[in-house]
Amino acid sequence: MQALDNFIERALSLSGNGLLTSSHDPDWRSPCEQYQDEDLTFWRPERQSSPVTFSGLAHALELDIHPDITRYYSAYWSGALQANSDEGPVSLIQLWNEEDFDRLIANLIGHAMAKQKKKQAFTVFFANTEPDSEMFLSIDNSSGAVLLEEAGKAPLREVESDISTFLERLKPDLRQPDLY
Amino acid sequence: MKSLTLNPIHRMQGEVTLPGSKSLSNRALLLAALSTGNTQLINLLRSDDTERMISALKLLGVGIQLSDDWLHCEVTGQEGLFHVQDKLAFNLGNAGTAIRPLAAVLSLVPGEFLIDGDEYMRERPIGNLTDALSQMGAEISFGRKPGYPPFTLKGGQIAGGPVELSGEISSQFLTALLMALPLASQNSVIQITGDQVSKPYLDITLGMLKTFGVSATNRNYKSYDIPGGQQYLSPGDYLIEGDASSASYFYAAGALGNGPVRVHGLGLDSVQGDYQFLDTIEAMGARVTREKTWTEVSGGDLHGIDVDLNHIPDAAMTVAAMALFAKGRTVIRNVYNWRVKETDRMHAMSEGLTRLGATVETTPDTIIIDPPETISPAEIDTYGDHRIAMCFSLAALGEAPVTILDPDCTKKTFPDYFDVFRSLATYT
Repeated sequence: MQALDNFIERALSLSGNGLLTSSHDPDWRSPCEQYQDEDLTFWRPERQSSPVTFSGLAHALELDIHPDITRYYSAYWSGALQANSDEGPVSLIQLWNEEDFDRLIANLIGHAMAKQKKKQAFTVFFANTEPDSEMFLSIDNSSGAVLLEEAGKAPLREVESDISTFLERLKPDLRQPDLY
Repeated sequence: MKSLTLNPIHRMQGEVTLPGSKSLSNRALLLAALSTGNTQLINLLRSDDTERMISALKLLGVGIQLSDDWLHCEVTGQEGLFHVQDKLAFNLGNAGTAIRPLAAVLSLVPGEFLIDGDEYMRERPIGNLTDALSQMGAEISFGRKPGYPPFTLKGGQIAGGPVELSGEISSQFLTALLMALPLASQNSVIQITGDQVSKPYLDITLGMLKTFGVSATNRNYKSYDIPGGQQYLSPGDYLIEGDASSASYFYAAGALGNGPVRVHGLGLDSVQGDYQFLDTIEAMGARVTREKTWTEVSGGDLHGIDVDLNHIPDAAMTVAAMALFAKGRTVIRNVYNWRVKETDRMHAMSEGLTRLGATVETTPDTIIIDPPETISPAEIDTYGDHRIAMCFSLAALGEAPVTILDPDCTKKTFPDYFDVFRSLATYT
């Protein structure tokens, strides 16, 4: 996904050493990690050599997954990426490792079931918004539009017509993912 | 783009109940549960978040009696920390306002707690709070992804002491620690690194601690001294306030539309800065009655005012809209922060007021408004800003219709605002 590549390039150019940081956990490793000190791990998004696939989720939900969703999540192993938009702070969810992908799929199945129960169209979340808010951003599975949503409710509004346009207008920020 | 046209309104009269805020509801439930003495909570918000907190407290042995409409809730105080047998598991759904303060308090309680949420909560990091609790001695292990629910917390090993927390994070994390640490056996000092965000929310937390009989010293938002070994004391009745900046539109409606408009859920002991909006509109000529659980505003001959509203920037926008109807010039000073919101509110207010016929002049931090002879029909661009949408609804109290573009931007904070607003109206 070109817009994600561009965003990551902008984020890495902000940091002096071309690396991003988050808390280090010896039991939670990622192919994107470069080195660690006592508390922090230093990483840069690393291309997935064998990209994750959403075919299992598509099969389980009996629907096609929008190609933007697959492109977004199957590009990199990476920590959450912090940014600011005109509407406020955004924390882009990314996959740290294979296990993180399994976790995401389990959460998306929970989300899909909640959507089915409410007879709402399926969406896939990809970002958190401001820290004190419970609203998140998702991709509409049928149109690919970026939506602002709150759990258990119908989407509040369309934020952008597609995720690439949205990513292009984000400004990266170097705050740590867990400062949230 | 969607739009909403409000027809000219002759009079505004009636009663509005502003639901208690979600975070205040959950904080009040927890403090009441930890208190000595029973507490009657008034105006508790009925929401998934509060239901999760109530279930968790019941699991911890707290007695909670709710009236059918949730307006009255009796909480039996536990006289300090909870006593649990062994292990407990909590599913807190997506209730951020429950998981944060509860985790902080449980870190002081001897026992083992499995804390989890739903699929949404599991995608939201809580690492900053758990790091702070670990720093102080809590044992925390994550089920899957470090820094995210689910996690297991072994409590009872925190005695107090120093702890460092980043000010850039959610103020709810700091609030959680401020609520828990008075119950630790030793004194604590929370040191904030970086700039503190959301200061008004922290003022509200500190105000609540005081009401529930506990002290903590705020050293200019850089550090907090919290004496240990304290005990929460029930204040008896406790009103869970509605949002004071949302109330400002209804107070203004009472002042402009003759009134009276009575707003339940906010009263004279309000802890919110925006309640001071009433002092300003009183100075403009509105008649205000403040009682313990409600406030009522009636109209009078309003006149312009020259006033510094730096302390209430959100409610200041409502004053600007009221200036359309006041006799003479209104000058609102020191509101430079209108320019640094997601929308340039200075520009949006000036544009909207001008379209309605006012003569407006702005400087970097001041807006000067000369009202029109009569208000012109106008379309108001809200720029997706809920406060702009809500304050320009007041323009319908002139003799011309007003059209609000993108009215759904109020969905974020006040989904049925326009329905409530219209329910007070009598049309010309």
